[in-house]
Amino acid sequence: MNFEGQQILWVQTLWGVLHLLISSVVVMLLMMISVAFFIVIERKGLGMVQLRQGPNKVSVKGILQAVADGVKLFKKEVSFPVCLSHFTFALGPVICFFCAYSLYLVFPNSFGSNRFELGVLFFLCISSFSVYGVFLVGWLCDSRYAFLGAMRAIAQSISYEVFLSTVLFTSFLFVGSYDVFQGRSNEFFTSVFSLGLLMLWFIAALAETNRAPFDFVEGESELVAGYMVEYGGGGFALLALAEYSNIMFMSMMTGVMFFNSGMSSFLFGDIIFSVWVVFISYLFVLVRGTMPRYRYDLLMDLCWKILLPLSLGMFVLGAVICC
Amino acid sequence: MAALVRLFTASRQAQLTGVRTIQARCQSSVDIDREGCFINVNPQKSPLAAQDVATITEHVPKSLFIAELVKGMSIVQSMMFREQATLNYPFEKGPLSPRFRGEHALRRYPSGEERCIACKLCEAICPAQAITIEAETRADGSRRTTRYDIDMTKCIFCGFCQEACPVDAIVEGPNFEYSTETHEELLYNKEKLLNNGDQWEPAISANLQADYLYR
Amino acid sequence: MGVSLMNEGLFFLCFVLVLSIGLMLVSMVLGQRVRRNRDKLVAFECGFDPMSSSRTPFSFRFFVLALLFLIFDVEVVMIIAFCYSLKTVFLSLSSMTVLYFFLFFFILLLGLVHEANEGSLDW
Repeated sequence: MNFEGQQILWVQTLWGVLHLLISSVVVMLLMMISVAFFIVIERKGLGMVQLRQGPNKVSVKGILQAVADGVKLFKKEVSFPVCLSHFTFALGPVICFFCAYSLYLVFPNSFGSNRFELGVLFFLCISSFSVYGVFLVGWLCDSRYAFLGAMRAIAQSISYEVFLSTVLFTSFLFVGSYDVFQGRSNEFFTSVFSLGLLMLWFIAALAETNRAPFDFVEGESELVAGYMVEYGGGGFALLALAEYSNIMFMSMMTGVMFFNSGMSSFLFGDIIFSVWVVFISYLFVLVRGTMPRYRYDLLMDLCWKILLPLSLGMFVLGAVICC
Repeated sequence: MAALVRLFTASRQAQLTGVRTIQARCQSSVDIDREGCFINVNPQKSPLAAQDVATITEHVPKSLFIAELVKGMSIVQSMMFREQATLNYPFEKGPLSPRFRGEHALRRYPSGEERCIACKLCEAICPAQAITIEAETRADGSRRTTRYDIDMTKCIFCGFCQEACPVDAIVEGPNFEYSTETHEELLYNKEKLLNNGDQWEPAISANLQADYLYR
Repeated sequence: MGVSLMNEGLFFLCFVLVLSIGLMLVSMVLGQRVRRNRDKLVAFECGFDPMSSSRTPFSFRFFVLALLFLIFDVEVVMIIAFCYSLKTVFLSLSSMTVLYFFLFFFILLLGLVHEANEGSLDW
């Protein structure tokens, strides 16, 4: 290989890396901004539902509240409990954040620079792995409340994970592929069967993201702030971002799985898709405004005794329909 | 298959016997050990146990609470478009009655002469003993205060001072935003009170005018 | 060549990892200096200092639940293959494969009923 060829190769490599870097930065930036605005929508929406104002001071009508909160949180001091090394203490939020945001690798937009063939499996793997982050955050810092919160969070996540993945596979049975983009362009889901499946899935999504009415992780009257009680400042910011990002991702998956008619077209489909994502994540807020908290034993009963057999039955039914 | 059935019944039996022993223990020794013994005060029969298809088919759709869920969510959604119950406080303020008892003020006559004649009725009636007055006769023969202090941290805002005052000198104005950072700033002297009176005179006189029928 | 070696997904994952570590570091660097205080070092408790370590035994239910989760997660792994290739592979093999799969599900449900019957699902 001559000198010129090597030079061209270098330029190509550099160009490729730049390309990847830009696409990653854009994805992360967009998702973090959307999560920030989702937090604002939740606070504002809950406020309006309860005939309050909600945040309304920062910028126009409090739109930039989450940004201000973020800046404030990163400015706060990071205090470490005595029982831990700094490294371990900082590792928990990092894992949670990493798990939450690496999911956007499978985000099915038409302009994506990559296309993940087994996106659904990736989603399941990562969301299973995020339990370790919660465990690290809650168990290691030797606080009772954090410990109880983490135990509850983990038990809830893993019980509902089986149910969630069964429902997920039932809907992807009809796609015949684990590519999220193909799921998006699938036109099947407009039937009674999918309506039932949607309800199951929404319950699973609520429970999996530890949202009201299943927010036993941070039942304020019992557990203060749940597993993240020892974290302040940047660690708390990362954990909160991860939590809300999970909700965004769940609503994205809901959009992919159930509201996908007309989404296969290129630009128009993207717009419809994002509208659905916004709508469903708003539904999460509405549910939080409406429902009282459930009871923990009933939650477990609901999962193992009702929803899991039901979803298994749904899967068999789906397979029959598919045949 | 028979083995399976036996497995099922065996575990069920074991659980039942466990429950039965607990129940027996509870009944035999009523006041010794009641742990693990729950008494169902109002036993409700589950409709699913009815073994009757009509009852079950009637019960199941109701127990899903779909209509109730939709109803509840729409009520919550409609709340969003209603008027807010809260005020955006520093920028919006609620209405105040003309009788509102806020920060104290000493008023003046339109000529600029202070109204207070140092009769000390307010000092006498003050239940918290927050008012301190010293008086002496001025060169022109009129009796005026040399010192008029109100300890705002003692004051209970009962309004007796303004009711006792024969010349409407001490009043409680409509101002309630006078928080300070130190205790000392709340020990008002005569100068401060007169300043308050000058500052709030329009509002105070309007309030007195609005309420004159009832005084 | 360098470009083709670099997997795009892997790049994104690395980017997110670096970003999350970076954010944590940024918060440590930008954050106010810690004023050393004994109360900040101990774990949160409602108004008093924690009296003992929180590393106490916890409810056995959680452990049973984890075991159950393992069993049912294996079932999910079975579903993965079935779901992916129902149309392409399973149906083309023979019509009996679907039947076998339903049998698998039936046994699974039976196991679930057994668990419920035995009382290990009671919370």
